[in-house]
Amino acid sequence: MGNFGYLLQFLGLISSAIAVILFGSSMKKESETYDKYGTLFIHIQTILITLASIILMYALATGYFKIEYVAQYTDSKLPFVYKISGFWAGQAGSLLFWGWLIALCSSIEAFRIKKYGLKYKAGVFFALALTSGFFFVLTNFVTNPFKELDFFPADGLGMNPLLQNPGMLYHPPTLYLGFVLFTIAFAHAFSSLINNNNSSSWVVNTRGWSILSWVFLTIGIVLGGQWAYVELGWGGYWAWDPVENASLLPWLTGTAFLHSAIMYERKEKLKIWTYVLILLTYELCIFGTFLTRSGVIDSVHSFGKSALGPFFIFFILITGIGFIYYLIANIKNMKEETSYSVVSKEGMFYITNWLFTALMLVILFGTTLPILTQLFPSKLSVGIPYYNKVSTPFFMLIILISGLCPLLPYGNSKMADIIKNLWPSFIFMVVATTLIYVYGYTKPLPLVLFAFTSFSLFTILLQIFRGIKRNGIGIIYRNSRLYGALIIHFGLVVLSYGVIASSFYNVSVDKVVAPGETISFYKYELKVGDLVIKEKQNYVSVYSPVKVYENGKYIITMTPERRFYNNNKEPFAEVSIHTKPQGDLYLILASYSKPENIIGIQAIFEPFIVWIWIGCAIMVLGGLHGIFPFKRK
Amino acid sequence: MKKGTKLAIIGIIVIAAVFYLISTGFKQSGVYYLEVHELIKDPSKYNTKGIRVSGDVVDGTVVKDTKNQHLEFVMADGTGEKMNVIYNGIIPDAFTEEVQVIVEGKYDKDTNTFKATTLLAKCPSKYEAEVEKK
Repeated sequence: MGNFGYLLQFLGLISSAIAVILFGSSMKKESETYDKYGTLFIHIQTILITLASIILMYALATGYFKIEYVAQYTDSKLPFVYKISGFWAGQAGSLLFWGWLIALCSSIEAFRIKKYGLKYKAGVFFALALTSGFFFVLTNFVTNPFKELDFFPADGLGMNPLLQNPGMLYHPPTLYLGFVLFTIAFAHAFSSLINNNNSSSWVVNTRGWSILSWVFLTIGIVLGGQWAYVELGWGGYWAWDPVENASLLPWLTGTAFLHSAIMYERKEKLKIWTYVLILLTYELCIFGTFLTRSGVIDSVHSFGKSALGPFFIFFILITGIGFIYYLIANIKNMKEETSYSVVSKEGMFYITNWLFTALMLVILFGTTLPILTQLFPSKLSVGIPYYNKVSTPFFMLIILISGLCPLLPYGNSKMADIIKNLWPSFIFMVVATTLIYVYGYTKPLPLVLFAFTSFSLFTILLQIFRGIKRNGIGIIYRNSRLYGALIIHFGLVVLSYGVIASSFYNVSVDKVVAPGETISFYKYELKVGDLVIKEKQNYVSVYSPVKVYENGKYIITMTPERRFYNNNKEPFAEVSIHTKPQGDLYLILASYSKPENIIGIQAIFEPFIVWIWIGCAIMVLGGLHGIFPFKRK
Repeated sequence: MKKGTKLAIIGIIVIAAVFYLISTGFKQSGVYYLEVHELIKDPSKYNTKGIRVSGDVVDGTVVKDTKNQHLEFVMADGTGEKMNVIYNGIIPDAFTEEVQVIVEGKYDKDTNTFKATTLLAKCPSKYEAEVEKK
């Protein structure tokens, strides 16, 4: 089975190589024949890799442990859904998954832009096939998911218990889709450059794809944070780990790109910015995969060391240099008028580009510092405080502008008009901030953050309200682009409230008690019960029922747990979370000892944290609303 | 002043802000990232800044007091250099005798002891497992 799968993925690589050659030639000399066969090979590639992927999934599902990859990541007792998720759980499989998604997108694109000019199509599919081909080179020659062992193991090693969480089913696929879909916008950008056509058609053309990539990337990142929150058992969702940063970097430039693209499309401005931002986003998607795969940086959840590094660096250099070469050749076409006021939409978009790019750079610097300083006698690295410190001012400004920017008109505007529009928000900001200060939330930094966020919140709500008042509720559908954007910005504000409250005002306690004793914590009384031991499908569970009382009133019994998986010696904590709009009660079974009859409970109260997930959901809905093709009048 | 110049000035301000933030953020929270032998060889060199050390837990050296959340073990690296580690706090689940760890804290040269304020246990075993060859 392994050999057959390998054959399919090898033929898939050959197909993408042929497509690269055919479209590469068609880029120089338009040719109907090359185009026809190139498109054919794009589809053949997709079919072959789809079959190969099905074989890998079948092997995972049926426990064909002769394939090393299957033996490494699954075992016979693993629940079925997690067997399938093994496809993207490991190194080799997830690279095949990457390539497969690009192949699928290429085929969809081949149908969608069938009628386009030959040379334009050549550029698009050259870039797409080159990217998918790159991933197939990796899975064919560097890390092969179909490699067979020379014996048939009785059982596999099983999946890391941390990965046995519903998060495994939605986090990696959504994140990868985000990464992959940006390739399409990149391919169109590249094609417009080789065609010397710097009109906004490529931006308009890929708008849906770009927003969709952004939506998936957003879901992937936030739900990754949510997964860390429920599974890793430390009560947080973001630790500035290199792997987390790797997914945030392309999100930052991708978000900037979406904004810049609006200027490109509507005003024929910020063109060079837009090209550079899509290049950066594309390369950062590849770079993120490289960071997590090459083992070049020590991260708590990176994959092991591997030989992939040089391949990635080579690919990033080649594509980066190629793109920049064509970009420079086009620059003379892109002379644009720069006469606009700073206090206008154009000015704000320009500043936004800078903010996102700069934020990306400071995070990139921190993340790659251990690599950069490897050449020197002592390796350096930065911790969480560095990231918090450097990113806070940027986030503050981004949130402020997210409220302000939709309000500002294009072109030049009078400062007096703008101030007239803004004073209600300003008053709201002062009132809201004073209120929470009086209420006892007096730490300066969160107070400033709260003020900025509240200013934005009110500005956004006011705009939506005024728009509806003037044009009726239908305007939300008729002008779905603007209202989609406003909804996204509103979601961002909701999310920031959650982040501010949960980062600055969480409380925790950490106590070892005998069963039957009560821990007094925050506004709760926690009555710790006896340990219970139960056997489950592929693990043994040890838990302690904790009765929670608030002001003497019984609320709920929570069961923080430790699990001993069959294939693992060490126990894994399974936290218990009680979610309420005003905050989560988060219990961890930190330790226990049967002979000594003691139970260690760590309790955390995370105020407002649920609003982070709700804010993300609103952002995603806003994004989808923005691309939904409502009929415009 | 031309509007274009104004915008360029904004760009320059942002770049300057980035450099300022990187350098101050780094001064305050940059840490040396070392292996055990590098630290032991010349500890005085790393006194001023925080230190993060990676290495392996030596078999049979772990002393664990779950009740008081106290942990002691010996940490070594590829070269065989060793140091004692003391850590107070919640012991991560993934922490066992065979695991790779990253500790952050202060090193005391006289007793060859590292007082760790944070302890990260890597779990490479299952993310990228080696299949045992028979």
